[in-house]
Amino acid sequence: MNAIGAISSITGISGVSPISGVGSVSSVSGASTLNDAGAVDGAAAGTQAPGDSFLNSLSDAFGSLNGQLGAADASMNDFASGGSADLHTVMLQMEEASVSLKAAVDVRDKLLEAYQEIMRTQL
Amino acid sequence: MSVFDTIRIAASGLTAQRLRMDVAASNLANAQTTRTQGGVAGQPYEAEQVVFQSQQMGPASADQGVSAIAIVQSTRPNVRVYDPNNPDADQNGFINYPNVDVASEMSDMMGAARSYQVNATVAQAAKQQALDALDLGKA
Repeated sequence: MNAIGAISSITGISGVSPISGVGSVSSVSGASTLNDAGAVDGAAAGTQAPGDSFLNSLSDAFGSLNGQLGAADASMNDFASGGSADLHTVMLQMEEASVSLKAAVDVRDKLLEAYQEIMRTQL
Repeated sequence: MSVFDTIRIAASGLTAQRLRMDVAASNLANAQTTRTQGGVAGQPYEAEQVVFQSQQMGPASADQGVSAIAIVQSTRPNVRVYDPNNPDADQNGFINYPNVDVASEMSDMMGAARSYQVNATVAQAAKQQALDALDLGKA
């Protein structure tokens, strides 16, 4: 992921100190990776205006992840309360949600890693 | 083709094989049933069979899942047995038993169980592939 390189090109440490400073990153490959995993329903980072594209993709990804977790929860409830849900449908939905969650956590880890790398800059 | 499409294709196979197993169970349970629910005497249960059809599950042409489109009744003839004491026997003392072939239902049931296992393995492999891809991001 080139998030580290993209963020480190920002001039001035003050631009990075709030987490919203990440919004000025114009292209992060993590967004298209998430898209491949089906976690992002919105457009890929390249088709949006620079500046807000990554944050939009990220919030789309989290919205989609939330939907998947909700669906898994709903079918688990349906199964547990004796509904018509198949056991394998419930399990696979939970697995899909868990893979999406893992993807989101990995992206977050990479972002935090990049942010901390910047913050460690010696002045 | 996203990894979730692969999982959904495998899930459609799992659902289809579950239905096949249900039909085999129903046929085996009714192998000696001489009248249908709410039906008249002398009209035995008819063996059933599932018909599967491929179904587009994702954007790519390879994304073909499966769905059961119909449950049809077998065309095999009923088994006639002479049993004049049975209340469902006709005036000649013969009784119609269902056209269920227990041996072939058993092999169908084993086939359904194995196919279910195969589809579960595919789903597991697809999930493992996604997790391996995520591990690429690890330092």
